[in-house]
Amino acid sequence: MTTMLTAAQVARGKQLLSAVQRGCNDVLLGQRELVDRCVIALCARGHLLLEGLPGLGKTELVKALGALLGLQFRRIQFTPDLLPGDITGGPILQEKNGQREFVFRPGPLFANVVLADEINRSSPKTQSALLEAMQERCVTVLGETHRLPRPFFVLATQNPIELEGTYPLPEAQLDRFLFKVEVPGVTADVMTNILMGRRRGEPPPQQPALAAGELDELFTLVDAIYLPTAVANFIARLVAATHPQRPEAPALVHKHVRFGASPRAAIAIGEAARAAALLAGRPNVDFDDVLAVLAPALAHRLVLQHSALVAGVTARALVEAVQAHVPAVGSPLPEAVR
Amino acid sequence: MPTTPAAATAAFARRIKSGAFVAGAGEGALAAAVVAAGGLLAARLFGIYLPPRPEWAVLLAAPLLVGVMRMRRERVPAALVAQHLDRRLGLHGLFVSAHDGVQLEPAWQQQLARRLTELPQVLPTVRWRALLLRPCLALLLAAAVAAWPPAAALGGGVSTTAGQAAVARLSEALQRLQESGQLPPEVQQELEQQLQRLQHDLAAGDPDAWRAADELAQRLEREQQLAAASGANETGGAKAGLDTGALLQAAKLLQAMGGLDAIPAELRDKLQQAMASMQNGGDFDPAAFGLDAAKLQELAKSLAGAAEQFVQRGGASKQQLADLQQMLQRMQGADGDGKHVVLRDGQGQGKPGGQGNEPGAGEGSGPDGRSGDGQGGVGRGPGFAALNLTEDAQGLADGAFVLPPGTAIPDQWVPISERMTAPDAAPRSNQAPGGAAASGRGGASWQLQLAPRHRAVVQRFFQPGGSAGDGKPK
Repeated sequence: MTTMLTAAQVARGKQLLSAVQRGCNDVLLGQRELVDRCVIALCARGHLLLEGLPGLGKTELVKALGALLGLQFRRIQFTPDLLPGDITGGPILQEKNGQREFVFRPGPLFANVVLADEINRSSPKTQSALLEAMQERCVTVLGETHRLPRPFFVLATQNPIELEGTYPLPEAQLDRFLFKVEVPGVTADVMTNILMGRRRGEPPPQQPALAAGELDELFTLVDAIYLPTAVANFIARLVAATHPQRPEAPALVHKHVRFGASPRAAIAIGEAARAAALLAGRPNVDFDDVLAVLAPALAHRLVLQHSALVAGVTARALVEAVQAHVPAVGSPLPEAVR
Repeated sequence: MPTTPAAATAAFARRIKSGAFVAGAGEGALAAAVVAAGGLLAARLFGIYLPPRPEWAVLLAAPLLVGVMRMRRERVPAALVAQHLDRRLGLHGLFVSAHDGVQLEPAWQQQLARRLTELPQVLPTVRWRALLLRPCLALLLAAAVAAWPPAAALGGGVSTTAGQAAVARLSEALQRLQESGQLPPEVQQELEQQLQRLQHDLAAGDPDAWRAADELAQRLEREQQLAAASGANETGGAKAGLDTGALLQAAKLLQAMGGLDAIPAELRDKLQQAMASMQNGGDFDPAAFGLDAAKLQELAKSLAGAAEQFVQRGGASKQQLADLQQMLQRMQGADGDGKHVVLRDGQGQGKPGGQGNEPGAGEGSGPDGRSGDGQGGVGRGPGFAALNLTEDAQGLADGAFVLPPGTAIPDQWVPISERMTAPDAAPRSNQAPGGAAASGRGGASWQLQLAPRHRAVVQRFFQPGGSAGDGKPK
């Protein structure tokens, strides 16, 4: 019989997450929702794609996460001439004991937290070099597979403007990201606080919020969060409703979606919902936890029709349509009762 | 209240079952009521009245059956019940986790038990109004159709007010008849029974009750006339119109002519006393001379007989004879019993007197001593008429009513109507062969009988001035 987390364990997990939350909020002012989603993605051991205009603090947030988690942080600035070997590393000829041999030199990808800044500016060949690293958490060079350090996170950013000379991420690449989070702008009050508290825009120095081993403890607690059958069924129905071939899909999906989300999306939603439940102080996943992570986990996985672009229908609007169409409870009560 | 997830789930499921049963029963009741109302209305349209019967309770099986079927069909899985309960109790997945069999820590169990105490507030409620509104309306409709009086569905139904008025009118007539004291007890009992039956039929809305009401009214009218005639016979002819003045005048005339010898001595004495009193300026009061109604009738008959004998003896002139006849006619003109006496020169002959329905005509004696029945006699109402059981007469207000086949003919004939019509005297016109109408009557006979070549001969034979004189056909 499955045993649920105790109240003390849940409280411990919430405490650890709150420490990370506080640190991120200190770095990125006025972006609590964004911070929550980032923390959830990290707890779920998922990769994160941040999309927003320049200057909103995306890079600073990622750097802060690395520092707060006490993990090794690397930054890769993706450019069009960046090659896969530049990020994965490669063998170099090295003389050793009078003999020359190829020695693998790890690239910047070998870190716990990798910031792939402006990832859409690199060529698809370079982008695809991340596929194995993100999914398998290992790199294969010249037939040799090298494991990446654990934990391994890819936190990528991309700019929605200045798209000339960029390479949109292929669907397979997007599917590897747990969340795609749009970074919103900040209000005038937040900007006032930034001006008053930051000199030259430098964030306050960050100390690790989690001690050694606490991150693993946090991962263990997230894994112990129970996902009820009814909630899992809810996730499955939501993902199924994104497929235009399915009768349960809403009309908007039938009209504007070309391909729906994959089972990997359902897994991602479940894992993210577990983290969200722990963040909310619950030993189990609730329907609301699923709804909280649905949009960032599902929107970037939908392949839209051209008609959606013409009509101005966004992926987020389609997810909202799916959410409104699929009830949390399997089926409503009979009409005889209310 | 249940504090375990399983008990709460069971309670929730029971409430859903109850709602499903009510909904199904409502649907069944709606269908049964509509079918019943439709059937009853259809039967009414075809003139069939189906009174409510206890056997109709079998229709209750339909709602029960449909309710049970819907309850089984809409059985909600326990997992779904757990989801609804989790949402309604605000347990954020804790209830569904417990329903999955996850072992809960005591803290979570306490939280779950605390929320389960609010179970009565979150149990589903049956939508009574929405479920039972239409079935109740349909049942009311069916009940109204079933309780609708049968005559109302036939269109020209019996008006209750008119029926009550008719019964009251007939009851008053019967009461007046009873107060007259002339009604035989058996007839009175029969009339009362008919009136009661009529009341019952009118209350039941039987349209044939109006025919019975008309028949009873005619019967009462006839009994009233019979009672009036009987009362007139009892009170005698003194007040009924026997002209005592004419009687005295006739007596004086006979006395002057010496014809009073034929009157019995007793009556002659009293008559002479009366005439003496009249000569002294007094009034002629038959009672004062011991002349009751019977004696007056006897006196009148005696005077008539004496007059006839006197005439037969030839002891009177024509003028005296005419005066005597006038006196006797005046004397008996309003008599309720006698007949007119016609005195003729040299012979007397009885003639039936009275006309039609004139009351007062009765049996009379002619000069030849032969008596005969009068025409009409005492008015007896519309009279008896044989029922004309033809299809033409059926349905008319005063026509005969064709009894249904197999119905016993009532032992008492009921008068329906009385009608006087001129005889059909229209003769058939002669029709010549080929459609040509012949002039005159009888022409068709010889035209048909004679061959065309002989007609001219026959015509000449009958033409005046023709060759018919010799009697030989040309």
